[in-house]
Amino acid sequence: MKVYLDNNHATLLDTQVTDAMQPLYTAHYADPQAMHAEGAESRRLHDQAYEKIRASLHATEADTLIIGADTDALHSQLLLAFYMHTIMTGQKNHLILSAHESDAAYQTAAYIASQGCHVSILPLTSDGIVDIALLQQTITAKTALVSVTMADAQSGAIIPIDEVSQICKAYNVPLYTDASHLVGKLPIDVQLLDIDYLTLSTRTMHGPGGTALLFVKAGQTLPNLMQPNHDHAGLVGLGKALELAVDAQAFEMEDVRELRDKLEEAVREIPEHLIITPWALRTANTLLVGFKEVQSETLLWELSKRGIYGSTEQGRHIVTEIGADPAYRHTLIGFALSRYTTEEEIDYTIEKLRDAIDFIRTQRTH
Amino acid sequence: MENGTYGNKVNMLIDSPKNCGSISTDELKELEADLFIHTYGSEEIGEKVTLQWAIDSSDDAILLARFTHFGNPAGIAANDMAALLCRNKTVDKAAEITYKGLEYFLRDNPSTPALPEEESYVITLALDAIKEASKAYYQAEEKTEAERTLPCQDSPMSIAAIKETIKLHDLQSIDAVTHYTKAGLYDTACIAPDRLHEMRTHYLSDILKETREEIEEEKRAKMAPLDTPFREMDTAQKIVAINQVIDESIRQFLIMDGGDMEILDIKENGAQIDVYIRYLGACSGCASSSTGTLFAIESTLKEKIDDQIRVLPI
Repeated sequence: MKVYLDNNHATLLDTQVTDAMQPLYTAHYADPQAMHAEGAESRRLHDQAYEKIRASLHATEADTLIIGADTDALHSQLLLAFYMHTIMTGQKNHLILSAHESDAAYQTAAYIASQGCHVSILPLTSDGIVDIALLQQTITAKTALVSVTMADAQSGAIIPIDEVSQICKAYNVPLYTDASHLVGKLPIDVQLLDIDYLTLSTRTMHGPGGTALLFVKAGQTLPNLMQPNHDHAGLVGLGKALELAVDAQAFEMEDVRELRDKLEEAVREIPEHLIITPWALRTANTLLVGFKEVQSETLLWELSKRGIYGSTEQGRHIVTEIGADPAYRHTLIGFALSRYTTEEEIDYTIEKLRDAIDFIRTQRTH
Repeated sequence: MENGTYGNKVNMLIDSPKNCGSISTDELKELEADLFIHTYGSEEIGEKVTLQWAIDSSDDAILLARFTHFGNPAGIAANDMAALLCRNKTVDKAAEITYKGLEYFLRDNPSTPALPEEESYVITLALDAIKEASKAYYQAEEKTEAERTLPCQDSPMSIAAIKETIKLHDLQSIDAVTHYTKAGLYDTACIAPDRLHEMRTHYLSDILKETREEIEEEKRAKMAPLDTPFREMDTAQKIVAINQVIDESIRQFLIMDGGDMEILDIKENGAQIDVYIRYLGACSGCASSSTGTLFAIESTLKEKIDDQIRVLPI
């Protein structure tokens, strides 16, 4: 049996998504801007996709939707756009990012910092969620942009983005967030949350990778530094995947959660483990856990041999950030279920996980 | 690091190591040996090896070597092979096992590297553990600051060990340093100062720069006799030149098997250049000394120095 539990990195494409995208490659490949009949047909599919996206996010007609490269790239571009537009011009001198953001974003932020801009990275609390109180203390009227994702890609931690948004509004600072790991798990209403910039990829929601959405709230002055790509098939795929994800939300919140909880319960019975982020503050499909004396890559190796594919999260220093026992630093392994995961797969995983951990603890580290 | 990326030998050793575990009191009694334990690295750092050696205290020979391991699973293969190579070597000789030697034994065939380049550190760390254990065994002198300081949070290697590795493999970039030492792989803040992280006392970029300067310095010092063409050198210079080639290409294989060679004399015999050598240690008396090994030495010298060279063992 093969059990794929790395859905917070990449997912199987839903057949309905591939069906929706197929005509864009084989029949309606004309440019949507073209003035002929073929172009009009492409345009129709294009507009339909945008409609789905607007509906899923509760965005208005006045808001801008741009299709670009994946979320990491969009976030980096956005940081640079803000840097050039507001910081180099002297209006602002500060950027804030949470500790949940991507490596790509930090690298871009490091470049901006090297040019003299002040950059704050907000640390996590022991719950594994960005310290909102610290945001309140760090933000100023000279902050150009605040970047805080809606859900942590690795731990599944859900950030109270409404609180973050309120603080940003109080200081009149634009808020950028990424919705990729919350879509299909909790409702996202850009108007209610009053979000200024949002990115969304359906790469982890059974949609195509490589194409993501950038939402820009009406009225935000975004310089012409953000240009769309021309992945029309990707746009249609994203629109369809988003629609399916929102439809499946209840299933995700109940049925997928039940399976994830079954796994989590079994994990809690294994001695000397560390679960990152309390159950109640996490998305329904994710479990990030460390087992003492069991190194991530070694566990992944043993699981992979048994046909189970999880993820290691060695790049993040999340254990240090939340102030947990440093012996867990290199033991974290992530399990991310999808709506395709079955109970049989979870039962198999539980059995093999127990075996693998026992094996490593008795035969390798002792 | 997944099951698909390694060769058969490494996969096999990861899954069925022969030397993973600890040495029992019964085994110690049977071998009439003393137990020596050394732990290298830590779980916090992400790589930890505990070596257990059953040592014959009369000559410091390692009669049995075992290990336990926490880290990249390929390290199980490297440590298992290293444990095998340690057997019957004295502790100080075990510390001289070379990178090339260990890596070669992990290959499926002579032309395919045992591990992807990014995981070269697996071999470096297995050998560094043995070196550190050896120092601890002989209770060597006080460690220098460079030997005590670990600049990176995710590598158990000291500054001194990292520098040695840079010199050994002639590493040119930070990426290469990371591949061979694991330093800077996850803890990127140790590479160079940036405004996002707090200052460190040591940075890999400085360590690399310093070491490269030392390498260039050493190259310049060595270059002097070799600017002249080989045939125009005097005998002493010729011997230096030949030894250099032997050091680079041959010597570690002889040493690994307990042997060595030395150059006695060089005589010109018409167009031919005769190099008289003497085999040392296990090489003398070995059947290969007049066949395979001799052929390897001669063809290397023919290729790298002069094709009229003939090697004559005394």
